Amino acid sequence: MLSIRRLNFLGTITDSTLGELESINLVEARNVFKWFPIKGGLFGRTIANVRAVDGVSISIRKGETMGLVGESGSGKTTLGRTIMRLIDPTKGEIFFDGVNITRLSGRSLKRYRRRMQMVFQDPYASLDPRQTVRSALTEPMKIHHIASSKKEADEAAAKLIETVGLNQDHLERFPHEFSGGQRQRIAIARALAVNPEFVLLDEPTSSLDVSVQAQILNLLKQLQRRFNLTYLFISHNLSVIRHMCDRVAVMYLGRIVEIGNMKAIYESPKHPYTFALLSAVPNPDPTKRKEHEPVLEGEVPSPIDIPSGCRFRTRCPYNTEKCAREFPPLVEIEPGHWVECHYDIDFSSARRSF
Amino acid sequence: MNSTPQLTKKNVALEVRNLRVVFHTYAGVVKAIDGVNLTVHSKELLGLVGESGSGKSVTALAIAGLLPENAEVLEGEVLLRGKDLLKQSKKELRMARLTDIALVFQDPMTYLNPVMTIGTQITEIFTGNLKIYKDELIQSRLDQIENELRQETDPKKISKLNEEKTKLEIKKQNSSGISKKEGKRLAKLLAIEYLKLVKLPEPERVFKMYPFELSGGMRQRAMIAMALVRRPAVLLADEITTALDVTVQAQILKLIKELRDKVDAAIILITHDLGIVAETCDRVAVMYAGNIVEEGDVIEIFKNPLHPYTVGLFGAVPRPDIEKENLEPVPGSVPDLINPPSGCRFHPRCPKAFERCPKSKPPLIEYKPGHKVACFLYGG
Repeated sequence: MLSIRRLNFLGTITDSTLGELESINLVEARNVFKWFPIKGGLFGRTIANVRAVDGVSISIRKGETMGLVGESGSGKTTLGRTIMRLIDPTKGEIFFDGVNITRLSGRSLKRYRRRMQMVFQDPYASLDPRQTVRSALTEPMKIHHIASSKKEADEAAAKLIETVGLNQDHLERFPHEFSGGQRQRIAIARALAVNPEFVLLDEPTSSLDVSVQAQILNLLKQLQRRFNLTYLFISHNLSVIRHMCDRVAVMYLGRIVEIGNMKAIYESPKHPYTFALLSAVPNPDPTKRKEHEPVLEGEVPSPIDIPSGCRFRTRCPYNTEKCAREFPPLVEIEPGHWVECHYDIDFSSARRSF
Repeated sequence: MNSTPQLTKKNVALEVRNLRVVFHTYAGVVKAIDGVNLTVHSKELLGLVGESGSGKSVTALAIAGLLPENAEVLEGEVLLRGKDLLKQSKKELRMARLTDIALVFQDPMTYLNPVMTIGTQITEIFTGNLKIYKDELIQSRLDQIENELRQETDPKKISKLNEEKTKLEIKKQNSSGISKKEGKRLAKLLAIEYLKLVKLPEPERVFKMYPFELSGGMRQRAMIAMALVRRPAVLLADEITTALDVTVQAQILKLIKELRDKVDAAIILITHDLGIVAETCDRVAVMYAGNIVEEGDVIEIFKNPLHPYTVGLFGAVPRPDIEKENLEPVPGSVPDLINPPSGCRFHPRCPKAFERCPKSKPPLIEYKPGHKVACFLYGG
């Protein structure tokens, strides 16, 4: 199993191993690039590229929650949307349940659309203000021929709204009549209306208050158990990721720099960026205050002009000449824990608070 | 390490007494602030924490006298240097904002003028009010010269600095003002000193830059420099790191902690993030639906939260260092402040509510030294 994972991570898999993979991975991205061209000059030539996703391989196993964490501009949302086939990758392949869906379109893609759904960050923008909740929930059922009659769709909607903790009276209302937390519940219900297997959660609680955030996070966990869902959870909030995820991928400037089990990442991070990110999170315990902790200097460079070699080297306290010259290799430090760094740095000497 | 200042020795910088603010809207009268009492001392970092709609920003705007037109202060006092800001004329209030109160907001791009350089925006305060700031500008330059003289070894530069010093001292004695050009020069030197203080790299270059040329973190540093350059008595920092990434947030929080010791201002840090409060503040006031429900020393409140809302808040927050199997959310949602619940505004969501709670409002009482709470469970 280990060897398969290694192969599949590097994106050099052969067809013969695909059968074995089907049972492990529901969603897989292999060496995916997404560059957005910047046009300019006299004839509108491409003068540069925003390298939002720059060679990412990730596999998400059935039933797990994969966390995708990174700062703004790291490409986590672009990667999520590329995986969902909402935007086309510049290069690379996307597999869903063992099938290459990178080039699918029209009716054949629609079959997969039903199986993968999305919940967005801002429930004020993602719900149609002129659509009742009932209509928002039954429309996807119609599109994907889930319900055979209107009556059946209505029954399903009634069940669904109670599943997410609202009641049937809410079905006739419009989005503006709900609070942020309730709207997010509706958005979740809409995603679940077509019985998906995979749900992409893109910062689903970032616009909510903490007391409501906890309600939504608990609901998502409950639904996952009940419907056997696979989640890709995108967030910049490391505490939320820790609470929700089985595995975590850390993105920096378009690449995954570290990926592994949640425990391994949080308790023994191996990439200097992961370490810095974790030490930067304010801890709600004043006795563990970071008084003299070094903080990461500078800010994320532009994804148009990415540093040579290791892209983190411009901010990395451990950077050497080698980092500028050579692209860091992807190393498996322990089973399932991959790091893209030249060095095996021991962070225990750096004072830390968790 | 104990960074809590000795409260008894501190001077009170600002006092808010029984503040009540309402907003007149088409939907009705929003009772946004319902009797807030707050005291901050110089060199103290007070965290004002609460969810959206709890009234933390409105409190800040009321202190600064920047409430929108549809707001009305029903009663209360905001005491600064012995004067009630709420009773002052527009001109006096403007003067207080100029000299004593400074604000930094969430989104620096909205508050910086996009067509003015950072330098012009910082020095504008001085160059536009040379009469007020004449003595301060000269004095700060004299202090700078003293500092430079201590470090300088080059005899040529020393004599030059001494020459400038005597010139400035004459101007200081002189009752007439200083020329616009001289004011500009002194203001620039002062601005650069503060750009250095907020750890902006190459302050001379940043001085000449426009806001769009700076990154989010640098802009926020520039805003902080602009706020501190007038040596305010109170700095109101409203969600200053919310728009920033965690690593940049950590840089700004570190800066704020350092500044607390370097400047004389009382800093009120408004945030929804309990982590930020725990990381930086000396004292904390927890707000809910327009009331302060609990207030006290940070370590004490985080260790022994008393008010059911504070307890609920702690239970609902996922932690970066501890794995929680289940979060315990506070049931329900923030009440509508047009028709707020009677008595204690938290009672409909409170797991410990009893008959007394809907009937009357619990006062904020001192439960033990350095720990105040507004809940009938603890008397009152």
